[in-house]
Amino acid sequence: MPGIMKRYLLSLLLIISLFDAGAQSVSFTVSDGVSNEALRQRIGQNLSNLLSAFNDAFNSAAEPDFSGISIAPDAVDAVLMLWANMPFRCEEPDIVERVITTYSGCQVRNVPIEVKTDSGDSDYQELVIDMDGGGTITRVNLALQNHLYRKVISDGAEVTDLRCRQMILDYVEQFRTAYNRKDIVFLDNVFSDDALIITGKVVKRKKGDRVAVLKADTDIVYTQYSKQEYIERLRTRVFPNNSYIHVTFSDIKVSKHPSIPGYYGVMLRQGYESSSYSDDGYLFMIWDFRDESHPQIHVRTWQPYWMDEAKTQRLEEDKVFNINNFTIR
Amino acid sequence: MRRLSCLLLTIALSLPLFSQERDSLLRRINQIKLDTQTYLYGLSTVPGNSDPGASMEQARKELVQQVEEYIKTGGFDCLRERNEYPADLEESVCCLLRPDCYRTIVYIDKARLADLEKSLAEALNNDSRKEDLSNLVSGILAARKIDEVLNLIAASPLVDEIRTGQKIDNQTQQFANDGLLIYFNPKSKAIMEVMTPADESFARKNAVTGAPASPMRYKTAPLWVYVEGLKSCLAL
Repeated sequence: MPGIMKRYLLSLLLIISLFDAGAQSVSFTVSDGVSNEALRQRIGQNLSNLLSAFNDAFNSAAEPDFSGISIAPDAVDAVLMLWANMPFRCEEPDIVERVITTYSGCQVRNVPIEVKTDSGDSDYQELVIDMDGGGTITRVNLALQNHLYRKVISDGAEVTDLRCRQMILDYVEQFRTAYNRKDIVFLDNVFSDDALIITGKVVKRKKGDRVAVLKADTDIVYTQYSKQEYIERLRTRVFPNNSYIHVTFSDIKVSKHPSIPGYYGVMLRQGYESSSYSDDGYLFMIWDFRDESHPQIHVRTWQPYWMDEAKTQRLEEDKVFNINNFTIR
Repeated sequence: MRRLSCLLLTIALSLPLFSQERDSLLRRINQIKLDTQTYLYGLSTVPGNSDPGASMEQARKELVQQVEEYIKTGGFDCLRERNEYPADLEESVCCLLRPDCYRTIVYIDKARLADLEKSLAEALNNDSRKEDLSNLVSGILAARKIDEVLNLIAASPLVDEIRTGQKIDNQTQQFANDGLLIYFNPKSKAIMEVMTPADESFARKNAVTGAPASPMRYKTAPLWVYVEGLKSCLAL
């Protein structure tokens, strides 16, 4: 009887696992945004092949096979770096998305993927896939959430030029994905040599401190790093000591420098999760887009979102760094 | 062991049902996304631990932007002037995805926006015709002579036809139910009475003489003017 029961249970588990196996091939259909029918078909087929290749690789625990896919060599390298840190699959068999024209070509957003975390859980993410005018894939990045993207794209009050807003969002997405793929080369290139890097840490005030009596019993102590120190820390400690790093953004504000053209402040609420550490805070950066082909980050600051361990007290909004807190010479 | 097997059996049996429903909702969402000629939509996918209402709210925000853009570029003047998002036209589909996410599409049929624009334009036009009519009738009531009335009527775009006569007969009785019938004193050419039976507020106004209400009293050869083309306005 126990033997029959065991076989019975195994059969049931097999049935469940068959439903759990997910779709292998993906069909991508371009709904809008490309008037040339041949290009529209080519983009759809190319993206179908790419996403199906991801699924094949995920199921066989191998690297994706890019043969037959029109993708730039740099993009292949970047995808493989991402894959090494967070393999993923596309669980939806049919994807319909519009193609958006961007400053550098075109892109599709909202491509759903499922990322398996080390703990065995699944994490929902979306890809943004950039292409050149001929439909060749040039970049594959983890996308900002759609509502954050639209928030910046549709708000022209602060940064009036749509092209600038697209470029800022594009680099924010590249920057975010660089951490997920542990891309030290990208980060080394994107920080200016004299970048100011500041990290805040919550400390408890001593008893009897007059300020503490008046207000909160915690404060933030800031540590300043040079670019070299920060990159070295990533290269030798953070990246090697963590099997994965997941960076997510849940809020964004973009502002223009009041007087210097090409400088933009970007404030993000950043969730950082790695195999050894996690935090939640405000990331503020000053980007210099004067050379569009080689944007630079001059300032990067991080401040904690929560001021106490119980997560009851948030950092006040007016204490979050903004572009007016820094003098650019 | 029996409980466990019951649980597993329930899961095994319910998975295809869940999967079918999810696939059907996803197909519907994709159909809407694909049919860009028919629909405008906003889409949102949020983690399952979020409120599904948040997914709806984000999708709606995107749809509002899409509608505003469409109205701006599509020549929907009345909707644009109304400056109010027609939320009562929206429909939505929400789907629980794996791994544990809500996807919501909120959409509007473009044809329904066009219908709304048309009805708003008609209402606006009717308002404008009502005002013009009111001005015309006020002008007629303020006039004293048949020439002034004829000039006002001739200048009004609301008038399709003017008929005049020297005596009341069955035909003018019928006219009086359709348009504006004005009686003049045949000698002085002054307005004696204005009749607009379709609109209570203008009916049987004694403009000059305080003459009796019935047109039958003018049977002895009054001068009359019948203005056709006002009925639709009066009936509004």
